[in-house]
Amino acid sequence: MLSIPGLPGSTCDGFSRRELLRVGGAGLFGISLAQVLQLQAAQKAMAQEPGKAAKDKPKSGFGRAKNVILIFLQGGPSHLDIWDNKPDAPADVRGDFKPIKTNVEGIMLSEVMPKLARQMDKATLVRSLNYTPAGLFNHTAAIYQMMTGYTPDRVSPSGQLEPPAPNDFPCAGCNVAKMRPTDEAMMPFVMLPRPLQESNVIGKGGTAGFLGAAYDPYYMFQDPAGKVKLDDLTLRADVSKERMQHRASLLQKVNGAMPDIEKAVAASALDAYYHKALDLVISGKARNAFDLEQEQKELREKYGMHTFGQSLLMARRLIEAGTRFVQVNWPAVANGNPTVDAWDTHAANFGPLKNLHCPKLDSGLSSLLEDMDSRGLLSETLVVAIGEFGRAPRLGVSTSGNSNGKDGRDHWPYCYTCLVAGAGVTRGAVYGSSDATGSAPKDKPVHPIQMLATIYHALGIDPNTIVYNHLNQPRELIKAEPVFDLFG
Amino acid sequence: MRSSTHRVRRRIAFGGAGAVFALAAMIAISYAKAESSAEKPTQKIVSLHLLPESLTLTNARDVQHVLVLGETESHQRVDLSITAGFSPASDLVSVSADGAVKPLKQGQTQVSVTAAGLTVSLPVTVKSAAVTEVGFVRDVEPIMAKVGCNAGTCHGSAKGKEGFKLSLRGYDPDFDYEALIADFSARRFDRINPANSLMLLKPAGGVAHEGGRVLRTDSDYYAVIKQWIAEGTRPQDLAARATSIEVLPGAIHLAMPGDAQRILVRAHYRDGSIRDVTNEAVISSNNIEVLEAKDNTVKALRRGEAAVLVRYEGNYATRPVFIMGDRSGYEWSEVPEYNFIDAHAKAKWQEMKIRPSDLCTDGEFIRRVSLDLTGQPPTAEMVKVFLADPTDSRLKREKLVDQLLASDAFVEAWTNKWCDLLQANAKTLGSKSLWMFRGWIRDQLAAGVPYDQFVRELLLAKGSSYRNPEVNYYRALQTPEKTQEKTTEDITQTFLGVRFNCNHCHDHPFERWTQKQYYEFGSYFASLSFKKGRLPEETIVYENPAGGVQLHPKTKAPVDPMVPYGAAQDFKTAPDRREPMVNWLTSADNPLFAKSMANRVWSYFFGIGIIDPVDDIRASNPASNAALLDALTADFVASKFDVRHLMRTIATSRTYQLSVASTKWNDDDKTNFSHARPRRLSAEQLVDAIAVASGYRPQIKGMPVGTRAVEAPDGVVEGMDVLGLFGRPKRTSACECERTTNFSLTHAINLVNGSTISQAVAEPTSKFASLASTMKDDPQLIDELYIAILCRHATDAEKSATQLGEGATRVANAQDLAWALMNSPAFLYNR
Repeated sequence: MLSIPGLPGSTCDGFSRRELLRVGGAGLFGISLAQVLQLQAAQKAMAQEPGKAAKDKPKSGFGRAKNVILIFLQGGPSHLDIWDNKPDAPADVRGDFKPIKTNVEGIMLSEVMPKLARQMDKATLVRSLNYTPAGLFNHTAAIYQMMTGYTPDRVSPSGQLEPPAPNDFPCAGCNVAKMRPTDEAMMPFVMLPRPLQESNVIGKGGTAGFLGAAYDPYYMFQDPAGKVKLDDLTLRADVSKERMQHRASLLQKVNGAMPDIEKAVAASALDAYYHKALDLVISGKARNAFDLEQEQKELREKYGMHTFGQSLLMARRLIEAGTRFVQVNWPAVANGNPTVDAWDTHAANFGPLKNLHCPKLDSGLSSLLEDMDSRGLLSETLVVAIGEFGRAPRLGVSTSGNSNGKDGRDHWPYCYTCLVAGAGVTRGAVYGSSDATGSAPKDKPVHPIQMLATIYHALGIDPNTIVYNHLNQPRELIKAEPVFDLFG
Repeated sequence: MRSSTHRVRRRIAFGGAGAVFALAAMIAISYAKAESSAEKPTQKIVSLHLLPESLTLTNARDVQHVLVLGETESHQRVDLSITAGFSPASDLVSVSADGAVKPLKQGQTQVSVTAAGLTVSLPVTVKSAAVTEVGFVRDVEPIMAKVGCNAGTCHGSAKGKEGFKLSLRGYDPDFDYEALIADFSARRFDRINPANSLMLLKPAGGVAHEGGRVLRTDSDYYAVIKQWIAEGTRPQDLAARATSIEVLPGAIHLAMPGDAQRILVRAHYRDGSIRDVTNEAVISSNNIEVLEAKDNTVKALRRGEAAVLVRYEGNYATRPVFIMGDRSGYEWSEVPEYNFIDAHAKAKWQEMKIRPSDLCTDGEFIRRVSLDLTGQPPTAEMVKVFLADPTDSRLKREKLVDQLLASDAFVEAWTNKWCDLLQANAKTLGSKSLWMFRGWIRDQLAAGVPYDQFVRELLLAKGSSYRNPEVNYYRALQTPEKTQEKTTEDITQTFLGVRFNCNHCHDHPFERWTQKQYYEFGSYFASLSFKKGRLPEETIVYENPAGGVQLHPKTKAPVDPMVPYGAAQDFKTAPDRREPMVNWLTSADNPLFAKSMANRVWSYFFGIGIIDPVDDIRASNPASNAALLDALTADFVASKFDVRHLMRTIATSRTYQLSVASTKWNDDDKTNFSHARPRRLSAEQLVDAIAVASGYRPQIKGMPVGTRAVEAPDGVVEGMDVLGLFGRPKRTSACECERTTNFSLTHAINLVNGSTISQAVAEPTSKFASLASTMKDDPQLIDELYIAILCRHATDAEKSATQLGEGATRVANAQDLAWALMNSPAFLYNR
């Protein structure tokens, strides 16, 4: 049977009765209908409990965002060399770059971000991100926590990186895809240009996990900076809309006669995908969203004719077309080669940052802020640019067990910076600060998963919402408070 | 620490008050009810068993436990250790309430153990009750690990903590000893008044300690460290470390969620002594949804299988845990055995109270086995002949397997697979070398060269990339900076199924592999060299005797080649530096060579290995059916590494021939092969299956018309994006995971609207249009489409479900039905 994800009629908690029923039937041992109804009643009672509503509602920024662009700088860019220079620190801490003035009085950025310096009046820098890793110190553990809000006990229980599993916690975009379905026939959650990755483990922390494959992110599997092929999204000349609908009805009939096979492949969510695919193809909206040829050449070049820049431009087009959540991952493998494209600068921190990575980040991010703002999109779209950690203040010192070059910086989760803008976030501000060497927050410490809570909050999703995992166990959407004070 | 200042709510589910938790608790209760049976039948205990059956105590600190197991009438063993009562027959020993047997005087005695109304006797020998000297390696280091001094978040972190650094989890006792002794403050140890030592004051909370209070002054641990200081903080030889650990019980069967079993961990030492180290060992579960591990006890959470993982001082052990859950109404129903595979699968089904699904139909079988052996489904003609053949089904299936094993299509499909595994790609090798290498692989497979010989030739290869194409494997492992690392890691992963990448930078935290072993293995390739040949793009691979030095990254000392387990000939006496390793690797005695291959091949037929992932064999990733894998391995070795024999054994087993239709008695089984697991067609299978079904085959650039997708030489196939989209690997990694088999919206869009299926449907040269115009009878035409696409006849209901009309409408309708059939999971999956 084709089931339609995200039907209207949601409960206060963002789950429709039907979804609850579906989840109820999907568990390994299942629960009875009576139990589901009981559960629903309890959920309703919870939502209506007066104290709770009064406590949470008046916080600022709630529901200010319609959409989200999450720019995930996997690999861990150096906060000290990009966002939070320490010109007065010793040479083996401050590094090669100097701070420059931005268009906001009193806010400095690194000299390798000159274009963003001219757009600083649109964003807030959070310079007090920090956390202590729960044992593991690798990228995937940090990414998993960053994306799902949960500790990385599923990342490498045996010390070996584990691939994505159906019992993983869902990443933020997948939760949003389920709880805030799109109004249009569009992909609710698109991840560009490629999945998260460390070594050969692909996509950990970037899947729908226990929500079911139907809420997984959409990937284009193409480089937005290349010649993007849109044939699959363009209805063929020999197939009219009516004929496509006829085919769909035949497919339903064919499948209906083979219930054993349907049951055997249920976990792959084929039905949900087919339903969505038919919608997208017939409406044709998605095709245009991915078509960067429709943009002015000058604007494309301003974003930068590279994968990262074009992904950000595509993100803007997707938001315009109705996608709820776009995640743009830094295009390099998290632990890739820093001298080529990765932020993981265990060695050669400065040359590649100055000549390769930062110019891309600078042109892409500054153009996105400017472009979104001039179109009026920034006021309803929350933009967050963040990595899984910063980098060690002292050059050439091992903090993660990795060996580092003299000009390299190791992983550093104890203090780093993210950028946040739009949807009512204060323009031209800095929230929190770090100590003299960028080693620890000086004030207003923020756990990175609070930024996820902030995303949910901005979208009008109560971070306290209870979700149910594959075993029907209740889990908090996220165990963190939003950073209310980011909103002006 | 800093984290306490976050506004992150560290609440534990079910742990607080308020509406959220009231709800949570309620669900927890109703859920618990749903999965454990309401009233638990209490079975009568008919006998008691002790593990171990006797104890030998050797000094005052040697305190040991036994497990008390009750056996029921139905031979189930129930843990009674917690409820058992102990009374010593003499004052030679004392026994605490929880069963800790402590020596008091030298001699032999008995302890009577009473539980469930039964009593048994535990013989205890006290060799000595004297207080012996504390050893740093044997006594102190395990305590530091237990209380967390050397944890990754404390002094074990890479830069230590507050100027004091220990090796992570104590993997390097010599380092730790030096770190402790290098005491500039001169306050760490006070031999005259040991309690004044910082080593005790800090952990016991006597002075400020960022890590908090982790040691009580009245604890045994405190006393041991105090004694060590009083005795002069002497070092101890590494040989004093435990050499192995024994975990009791050997296998754990728990009947119901909630049932628990105490674990006993006994360390064995070089001097033959044994100590109870349960409290100091780390005990964890590999499946936290099924089994909870807490302190010295594991508890069943729900029906399923798990392993309890135990580690202690560099030793590792696992024990399987089976949790039955409520299976009331279960009855075993006998099923035939076609070969030994079925016997082992059956034993496991009975153990877990599973009943296998029925056999698949002949139509399902010919499709499944053709896809598995030759990478493509049968033609409509082959299906018709096979279905009409009146021979006994089992016999005709065996005959079919033999036919397919002897076909060219078989060789092509497995050449493609080996090109993946050996990373044959044009980007690294160059186009000509790729062709030559592929041809070499193809020749080996066509000739049926035994697997050990195949690997031997590959790994001892030298010479020109054109005249000795097998050298291209080493070329494929060449990278600008890390050739030796990639060679080490990829060869171990490909031929032993072991991942050697964690121990590149440090000893593997939870497995036995060490950083030293990594460099020892890598040292076999230290003199492997590459130079340009005379022909364009020709490379010569050779052993350069001037090379051959592998330096350890930390000590900078040369590392001689050595195999990571077992023994190999001394490399100095070998004609080729690699040869001792290759002899060892490919030996029938190597416990991982044949086994990893048998397991890998199995996974190609079942979609999951007996150990899974197949290229990640380690103690903490146990086999779902070890007896089955052992038997399969032994059979493979006995056949002299004949891969066709291995495949034939698997494909003719009854277990392989089960249906995908699961039943009440195996719905939840994912690891015991009680029903077939549908596998999405691989990229090449999909393209080739569409071609076989439709008769239209898109041309591959630069290849003759009619070339199958599996015959494309390179990983990346220009002009056929569909192959990349559906997961054909680029062939730059040794990991099986480089090939993806998932299903996503992007795939659905391609299948719905992209050219992959739509073009084959619309092509004038495809068979659908011509069939529609020649076959006038609707049911007949529908049946023909089902045979061509799904490899079975249409049912009567399916034949009458659609009206096809006439003329152009008829063609369009037939095309649409073909489209629908090719978009059904029955086509997109091997099932």
